[in-house]
Amino acid sequence: MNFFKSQFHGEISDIINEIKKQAENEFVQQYVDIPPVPLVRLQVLFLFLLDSNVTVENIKKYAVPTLLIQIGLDCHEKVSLTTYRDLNQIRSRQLAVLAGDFYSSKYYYLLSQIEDIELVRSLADSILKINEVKTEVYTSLSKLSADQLLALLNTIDSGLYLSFLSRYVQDGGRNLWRNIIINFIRVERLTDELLSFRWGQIVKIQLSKLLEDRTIQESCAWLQGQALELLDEIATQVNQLEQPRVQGELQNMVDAFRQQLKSQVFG
Amino acid sequence: MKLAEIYLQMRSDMNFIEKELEKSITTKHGLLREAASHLMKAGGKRIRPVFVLLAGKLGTYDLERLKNVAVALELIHMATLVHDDVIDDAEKRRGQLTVKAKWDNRIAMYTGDYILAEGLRTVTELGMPRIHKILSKAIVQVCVGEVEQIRDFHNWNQNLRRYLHRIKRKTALLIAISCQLGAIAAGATEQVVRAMYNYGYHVGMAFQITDDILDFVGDEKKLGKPSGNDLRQGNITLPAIYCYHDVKSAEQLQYLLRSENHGMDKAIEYIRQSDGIHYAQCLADKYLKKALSWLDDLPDTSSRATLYDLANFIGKRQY
Repeated sequence: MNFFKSQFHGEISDIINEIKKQAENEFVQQYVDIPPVPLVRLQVLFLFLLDSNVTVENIKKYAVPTLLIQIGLDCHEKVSLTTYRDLNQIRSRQLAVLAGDFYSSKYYYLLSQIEDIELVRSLADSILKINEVKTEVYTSLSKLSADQLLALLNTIDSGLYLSFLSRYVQDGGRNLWRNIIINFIRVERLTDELLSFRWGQIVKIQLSKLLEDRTIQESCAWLQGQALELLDEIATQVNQLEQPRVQGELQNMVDAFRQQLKSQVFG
Repeated sequence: MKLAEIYLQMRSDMNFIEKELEKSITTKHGLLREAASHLMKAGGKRIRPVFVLLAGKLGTYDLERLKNVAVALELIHMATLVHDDVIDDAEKRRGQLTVKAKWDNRIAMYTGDYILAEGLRTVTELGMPRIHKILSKAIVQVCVGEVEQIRDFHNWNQNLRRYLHRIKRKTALLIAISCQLGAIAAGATEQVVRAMYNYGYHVGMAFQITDDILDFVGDEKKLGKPSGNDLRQGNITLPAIYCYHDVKSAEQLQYLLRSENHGMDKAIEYIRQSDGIHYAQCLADKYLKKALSWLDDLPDTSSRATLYDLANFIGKRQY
């Protein structure tokens, strides 16, 4: 899944470059692999704001701090639990902590510069919720079913992006966009999980949960089925939007995901 | 004057701030609430809220308004402490187990992120853009300072200027803006706001230099950490920098640092007895003197007298 087919390729690239510029620190990057900008989330946020008639210039002003928080929170997921003696590993742990803090502080700085205190507040509310749910997942993993786990992970993944809903959408449209954002982000996670597995990477948390009572192939087929079902739902939801250019972009994303998922054969 | 006596004068308002701090941890998640409250219950000097309130007395004192700055600054400070303990792999702080030691690194990361967000949410109660511009810039600088500190770990070639720049970002800035923002939130004059920033900056520098001295010579029980802890971590502070570069002590210290037989313990003991401690103390005194001179620009009130006492406490503190 990538954004290169988008007619907003230039604008989205511009946002990514600005995020990278804000996140740049040569010393930190010697020791920490900075998490990538989550493209699907950026693209969905971009299209949501566009659909809400926010100018491209302002979308950039909101998207950059939001994605910086995301990268900051993701950086903190990289902080190791192990006590190391090797200096490089110690530095890596230390700088993963600081990089995360640095990116989170940048969000407050950037929004303060444009005096958008309301957005500082709603994003802070989301960070509070995200860390509550992360703690819940971390401490209760063994008691959660695969479905419960997926739902909690989705709350973590989509929290920041849902912060914008109440600000821009009236009651009626709010649920529609809420579902589009939640479903896209869930598809992103399911697909990511499947691809990681296919490429022989470490089995992630979700899949290992499924494997408790399924074979590997059954688990992959289940994840694939879930993702395809969600894409059908998204397609129906997208049809209810009013702006054709936003509809078209989201439909392209649905098609790209479908293509990617269908090229994976399981079971 | 002791800190307790200074606090006694502000007891009612500081109790209010303490309750607000407790109330600010709103999560219903039991473990997260316990972890977030853990450091709060361990106490602390609450020096940032004290500065906010005292600065607030130099304008229109409104505790309901000032609490948003005071509580936010203390929460932001606490969040950095929870994360610092992961960075330092520290087992104890203020004599208590750290969050990372009581639970683990992951819970400490979530707790720190949670407390920081709570701090930001609290300060957004104030709709003054200037406050947010100053505070957000300072938080970024604090983070940059922390990265710089890691970069300077084990770097014996750093000079005094670099050390001072680092502690400005690490400590002095948050104390300076505690004073500045308290004054701004209370609508004090620009002259007062400027004087309070400069007072806080110089007090903050003295505070950190004193901290670095106490790391070598302080009472381990009172500090809640072993003597020479900073140097063992690789954090080279002023007494060590002076000792390493002073012609009288450089050679011996360099020899001890190279030696394998308890070299670090001996180096710490050597620095403790060296002129580095005296030099650092003189520099801290100079900063304190400068801080006090900024108080001359303030109206002669009881708040000014307390700010004077606070600066002196910092200069003479043992923990």
